[in-house]
Amino acid sequence: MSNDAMRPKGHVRAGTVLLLLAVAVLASLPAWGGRRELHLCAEFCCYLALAQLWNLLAGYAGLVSIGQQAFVGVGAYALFLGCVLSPMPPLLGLPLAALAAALVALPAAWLLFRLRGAYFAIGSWAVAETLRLAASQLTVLGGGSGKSLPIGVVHAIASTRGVRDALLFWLSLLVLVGVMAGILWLLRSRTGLALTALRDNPATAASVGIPAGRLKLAVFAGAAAATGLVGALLFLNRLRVAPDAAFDLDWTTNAMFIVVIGGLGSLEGPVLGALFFFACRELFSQHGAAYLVAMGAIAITMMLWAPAGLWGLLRGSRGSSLFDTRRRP
Amino acid sequence: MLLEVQGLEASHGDLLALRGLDFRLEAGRTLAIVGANGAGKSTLLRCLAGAHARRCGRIHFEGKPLEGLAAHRVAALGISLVPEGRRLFASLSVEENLLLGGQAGRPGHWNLQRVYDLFPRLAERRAVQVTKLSGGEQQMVAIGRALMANPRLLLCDEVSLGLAPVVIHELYGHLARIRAAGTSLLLVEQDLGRALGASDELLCLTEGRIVLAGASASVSREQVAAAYFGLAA
Amino acid sequence: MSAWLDILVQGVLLGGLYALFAAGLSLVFGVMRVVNIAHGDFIIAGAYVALAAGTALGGHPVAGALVSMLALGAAGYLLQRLVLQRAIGGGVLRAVLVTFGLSVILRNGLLLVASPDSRRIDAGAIETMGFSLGGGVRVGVFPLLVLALAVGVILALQWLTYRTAFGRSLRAVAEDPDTAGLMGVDAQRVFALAMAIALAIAALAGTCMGIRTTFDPAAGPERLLFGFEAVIVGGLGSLWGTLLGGVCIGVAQGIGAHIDPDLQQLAGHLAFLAILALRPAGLLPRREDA
Repeated sequence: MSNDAMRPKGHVRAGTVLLLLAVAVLASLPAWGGRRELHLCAEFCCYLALAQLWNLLAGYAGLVSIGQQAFVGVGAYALFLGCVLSPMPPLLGLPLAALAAALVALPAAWLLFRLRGAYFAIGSWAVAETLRLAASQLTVLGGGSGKSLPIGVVHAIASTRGVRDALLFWLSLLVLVGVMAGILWLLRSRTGLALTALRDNPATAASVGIPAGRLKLAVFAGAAAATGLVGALLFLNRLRVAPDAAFDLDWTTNAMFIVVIGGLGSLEGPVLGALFFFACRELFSQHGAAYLVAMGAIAITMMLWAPAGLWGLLRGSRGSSLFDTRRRP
Repeated sequence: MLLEVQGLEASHGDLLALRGLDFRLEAGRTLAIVGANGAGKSTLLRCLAGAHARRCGRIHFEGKPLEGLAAHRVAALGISLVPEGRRLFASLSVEENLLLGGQAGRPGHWNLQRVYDLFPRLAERRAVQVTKLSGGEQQMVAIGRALMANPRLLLCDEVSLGLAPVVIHELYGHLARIRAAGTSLLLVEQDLGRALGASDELLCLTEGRIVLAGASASVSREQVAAAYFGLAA
Repeated sequence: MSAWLDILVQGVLLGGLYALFAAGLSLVFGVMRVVNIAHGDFIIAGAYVALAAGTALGGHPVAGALVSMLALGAAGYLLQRLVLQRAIGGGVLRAVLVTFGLSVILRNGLLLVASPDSRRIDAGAIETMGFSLGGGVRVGVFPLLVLALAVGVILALQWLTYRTAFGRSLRAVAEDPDTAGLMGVDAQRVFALAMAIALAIAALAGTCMGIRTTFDPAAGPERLLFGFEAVIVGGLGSLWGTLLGGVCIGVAQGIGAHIDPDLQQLAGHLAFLAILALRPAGLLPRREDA
C-alpha cells in the first residue's frame, strides 16, 4: 500500500490554509471590531465548540445526550463559586471548571451508562435537571435567582473593559481551536479508530479487545470537561450566573440544531451549521416562537431527507473534506 | 400460468445477486431450486415475496404484476414464504404464531384445525413458547404459519437446514400432502436427492444465473452436479 | 404518623397521574423501539385541546377530554405515517433528533397559539370533593378517579396486547416487522395505530393533569421526565411496573414537598437516580428487549 493514500489531498491543504486565514482574521477582531462584535464572535466560538463536542459524543461515540447543559452549568457554577469564595485569579476558574465538570461526569456516567439509546438521552436530561434544582439550593450563589460576579473579581480579570472583552474573546477563540484540534487529533489516533469501530458494531469491537466501557467513559468525561470550560467562559462573559440560565436545555438544543443542520459526523458540518444558525438568529429571532418552530422544522427536514446536512449537500458525492480525519499511523 | 419471471435482477448491497432470471411455473406444480451458497436462491424467494427490492425485470403472478408491491400485499395476493431460518416470533406462542399467519385473511382449505391435523405434535404444544420447541417442530410451525394464509404459491427456503434426517423425511412427507392439496411449491433445497424427488421441475442457480432448467424426472444427478459446480458451458 | 400516611396516600394518587403520563410512552417504545421525546408536549397539547373543546361545548370537561383524545389520536396516526415512520430503524440518533425537533415545534407552536399564561381546566364540584380516611388523611375524589383511570388504561392495554388479533400483530411487528410483513401484516399501519392509541392516552393524561393543576406551553418537558422516570423505576417492558414506578415518583415527590415545597421535583429526580444506581432493571423488570 503506497503512501499516496496518506498524503493530504489538494482540497485538504487548501482547507487548512483557508482555516488558518479565518483564525488569523478572527484573532485580529479586537483591533477593528466593537464591543458588540466581540461579544457576538465570542458567543459564536462557544456555541460552535459546544456543537463540535455534542457531535463528537453523538456522531462518533454513539452517545446521544440531551443533558450536556449539565456540564455547562457545572462549569459556570464552579468558576463563580471559586471566584466568590476565594481570592483566586478569575481566569484560574477556567481550568477549575473543566476539572469540576470532569469530576461530575464520572458518577453521571456510572449511572447513565446503565441506560441504552434514547433512554440514555432522557436520563442525561434528568441528571441535568437534578443539577439545576440542586444549584437553586445554593444560597451562597443567590439560590434560584442567581448572582452577579462581584466588582472586585470583574476588575481582577483585566484592567479595562476593552481589554477584558478582548481577552475573553481570545480565550473563546483559543478554546474553539483547541476543541477542534483535540477532536481532530482524537479521530486520527488509534483511539479514534477504536471509537469508529465501537460506534459501528459494539459487539464485534468488544470481541477484538476494545475496552468499550473505558473508551466511552474517557470520551464522555473529556467532552464534559471541555463543555464545562466553555460554560465557564460563557458566563464569565455575561458576568452573571443563575440556575435556569446555566442549566438551560437550550445549550444542548442549539448545539443539536447546529450539528443537524450543518452535518452530523463531520468537523466541517457544525461550522456551516453555526454560521447558518447565527445568521438566522440575527435576522429572525425577533419573531420568537415562530422562529423556533421554523428551526425545528428545518432540523427535522434535514434529519430525514438530508442527514449529511448542509456540508453534505455542499460537497455532493465527491466526498471531499477540509479536515482530514483519516487515521495517521 | 401461475408465475412468470422475466429478466429479474436484484442486488444485495453492492453485489448483483440475480442477473436476469427467466422462468415460469404452472399452477399445481412444484419447482425445486438448487445451487451453492450465495448463488442467489434466498434473494430470489424474497424478491418473489416482496421482501427484497428488484432492480429490474418483471414478476407476474396469476397474470398480475408484482412490481413495487409491499410484502403484506403480496401475501394477500397468495404468495407465502417460509423464510430461511424460520424467523418465528419468539414472543408469541405456537398458536399465536399460526394465527398470525392467517392475518392475510384469505379463504381456503387451511385453517387452524387443519394445520393441527397436518402437524399433530403442534396441537399438543399449542400454548408453548416457540423458543422451547425442537428444530423440527419449529420448522413445522413456520410451514403451518405460511399455510394459514392459504397461499396459491408456497415458497420454502431451505426447510431442512439443521434438521436430523429422520425429521427431514417426516417434513417432506408433510410437503407431499401439501402438494396433494393443490398448493404450488417453490422449494429451495441443498439436498439434491430430496430436491429431485419432491419436485416436478428443477432450476440450478450459479452466481445469480440459471445454468440448468428441466423436468426433475429427466435430469440426471450428474448433469445437476456439473451445472452446480459451474462445469457446464 | 398521620402526616406520613397522608404523604403516602397523596403520593399514590399522584402516581396514578404519572402512570398515565408514562403509559403512552411505554406503548410506543414497546412497539416501535422509539422514545417519543415530544410525548410530554403532546400531553400539554392534549390539555389545551380539551380546554378549548370543553369550553366550546359548554364547559363539559368530559366532552373536552373525548374530543382531545380523538384529535390527538388522529394526529398521532398521521404523524406516524407521514413523519415518524422515516425515523424508525434509522438508529437512535435519528429518532431522538426528530422527536426532539417535534418537541421544540410543538412547544413553540403552542406558545404562538395560546398565551404563555398558566391555564387550568374547570371541572366544577368534583375538584374539591373528597372523603376522610380517618387520622387526618383526606382522599380527593378526582385524584382517586385519575388513579382508577390509570389502572383502567393499563388493564385495557394488557387486554389489547395479549387477547386480540391486533395485539398479536402489535407484538409480532415489535419483534420483527419484516417477517410480520411477509405474513400479511401491514407494519406501517400497525405502528400508526399504536401511535394513535398512545397519543389518545396522552390526551387523557393531559386533561386529567389540566384539571388537577395549572399548565402552560412550556410544561411539556417536565411531564416527559416524570413519565420517563416512572417507566425506568418500574422496569422496561412492564405496564404494571410503570404504575408502580409512577407511585414511587409520586411518593418521593410528596416526601420532598413535605420537607420543603421547593424540593418536590428534586426529590423525584433523586429517587429515580437512586433506583438507577441500586436496581437499574427497575422494580418489576420483564424480559429486556431494548
